[in-house]
Amino acid sequence: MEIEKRIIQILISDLEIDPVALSTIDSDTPLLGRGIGLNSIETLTLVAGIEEAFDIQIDDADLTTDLFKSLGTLVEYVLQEIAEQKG
Amino acid sequence: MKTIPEMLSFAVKQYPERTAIVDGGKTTHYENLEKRISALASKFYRMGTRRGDRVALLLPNGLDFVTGYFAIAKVGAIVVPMNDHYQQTELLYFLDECGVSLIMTSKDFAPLCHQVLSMRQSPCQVFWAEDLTETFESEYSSPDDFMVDIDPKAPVMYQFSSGSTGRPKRIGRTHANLLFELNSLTQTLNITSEDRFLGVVPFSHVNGLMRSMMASLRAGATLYPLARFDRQVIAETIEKNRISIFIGVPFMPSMLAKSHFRRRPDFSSLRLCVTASAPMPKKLNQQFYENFGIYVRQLYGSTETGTISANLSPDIKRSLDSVGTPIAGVDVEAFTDDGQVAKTGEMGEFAVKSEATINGYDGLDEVNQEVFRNGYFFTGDLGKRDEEGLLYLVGRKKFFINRGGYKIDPYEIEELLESHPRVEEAVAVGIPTPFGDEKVKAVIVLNGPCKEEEIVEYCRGKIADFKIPSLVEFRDSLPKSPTGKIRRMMLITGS
Repeated sequence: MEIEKRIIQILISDLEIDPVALSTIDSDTPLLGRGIGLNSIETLTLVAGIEEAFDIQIDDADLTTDLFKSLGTLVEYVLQEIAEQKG
Repeated sequence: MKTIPEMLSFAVKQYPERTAIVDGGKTTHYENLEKRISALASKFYRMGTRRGDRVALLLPNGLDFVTGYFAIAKVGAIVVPMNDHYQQTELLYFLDECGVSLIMTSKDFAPLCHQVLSMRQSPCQVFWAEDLTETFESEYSSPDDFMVDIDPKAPVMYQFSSGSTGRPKRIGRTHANLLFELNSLTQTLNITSEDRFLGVVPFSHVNGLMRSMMASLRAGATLYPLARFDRQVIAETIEKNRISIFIGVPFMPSMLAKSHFRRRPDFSSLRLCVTASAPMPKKLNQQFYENFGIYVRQLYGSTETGTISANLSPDIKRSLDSVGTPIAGVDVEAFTDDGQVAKTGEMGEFAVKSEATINGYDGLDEVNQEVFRNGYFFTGDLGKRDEEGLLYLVGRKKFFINRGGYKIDPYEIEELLESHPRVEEAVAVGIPTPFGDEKVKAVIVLNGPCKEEEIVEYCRGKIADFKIPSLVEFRDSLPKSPTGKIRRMMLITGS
């Protein structure tokens, strides 16, 4: 839950997405397309923000559409990376 | 050396055994590159391509792009480089606008190509890059080099320029234009055959094409093309191959500066890290320096003029915001609104005179009269010159949106939005981001119920994803001047 909140904060602070638009999202909300609608430049901005916030490295090879399928899939991935890189 | 094919032959004669391109694991020497190009040029000729024909290249950065570019030039045809993010609407427009009769692409783009070509009235052949095998090369190679007589003043490439005056304007740059720019660029940046270039900015864009791909080949240097922006791959490529020149757009070093690497990569081989197309944010430049030991220098250019200036100041820390001094053979003046040359420190519109500059836009007499005056091309960029002669960009007269270094014509987005049945009127503007570029905001007046998601979804697949609005605002009306002109600045500042 904390990770999800932090990612939403990054979406607001780094990507300047309107907090009102994010108030209704949940872990099933897609980050691309019909969901939040991030484009390729914005996904990289989000990833850099996540790296900074959690002090982890995310491999660009992992940045597939599956990773951004929903907020939940991204949270799951970040959790795994934190465990692997800091575990 | 008067044409682009002659430029490559010159490098081949000087450095036949030197590595021209390292694409993934494949190394190609200059001599082999020329053989590959000749074989493809011969194939294009047999397919019916002749001098002045237009051939599109829809490929990511790589050996095939380079081979295709020079093969098209070698038959005297005109290269139309296409951004590999383009979607149906854009491809159709550019193919039609240029009268393209052949497209060289990869099978990755087959569904999109078939879809677009089926919508075109005029016929267009396709050559798949996957067919460029070693068997192909031996089949089409000949002991006599394939030669066509080419006029140096003939266009070798069509590109498009953004502005608010309508759809993107077609620009034909000649062999002579490109050679002048490349000679000047290699001389000013002191590029030699010892240099190793990172080719990560799309070669379909003037910045990646001229300042990475062509500059590297002009100097007989080695080019390491990368098909996409991948931070770890970039870091590894720079470190492992001792890259000496990294030409990018500000988003690239900004992202590298912000990124967390498990081990900080060694960028000590870089002697030049240069960005163009948008301002490089000072804070991120400082962060890049602290992480990698080199400041990012700014370069200024346009599709119409080629490279205009570069900041090679020895005191770079003090002049990070400057785009430097004009490169060799380029004359730059700032003119005030009353047509006078601006004084030191005074703001004016930058105007450029050089042999790399185009003579005019095709078929746009009115626009030509406005922007080509007294031998100068008026760039629409506002700036000033300091007492040391350094140029600073401070604004622009033209309306376009700069997204990650891509200059987007708002009209293109507006036209698409207004084709939506629920949209009465639409305006696209750029909202500044912390990375020095802008994101696309659409301000829309509706004629019926419609949601933001529907607007975004409507754009998907029709235009490149970086052009799709990140923000959508619905309004009852748009702010307009008494003459009915939309007040775009009010939509940017939110006032």
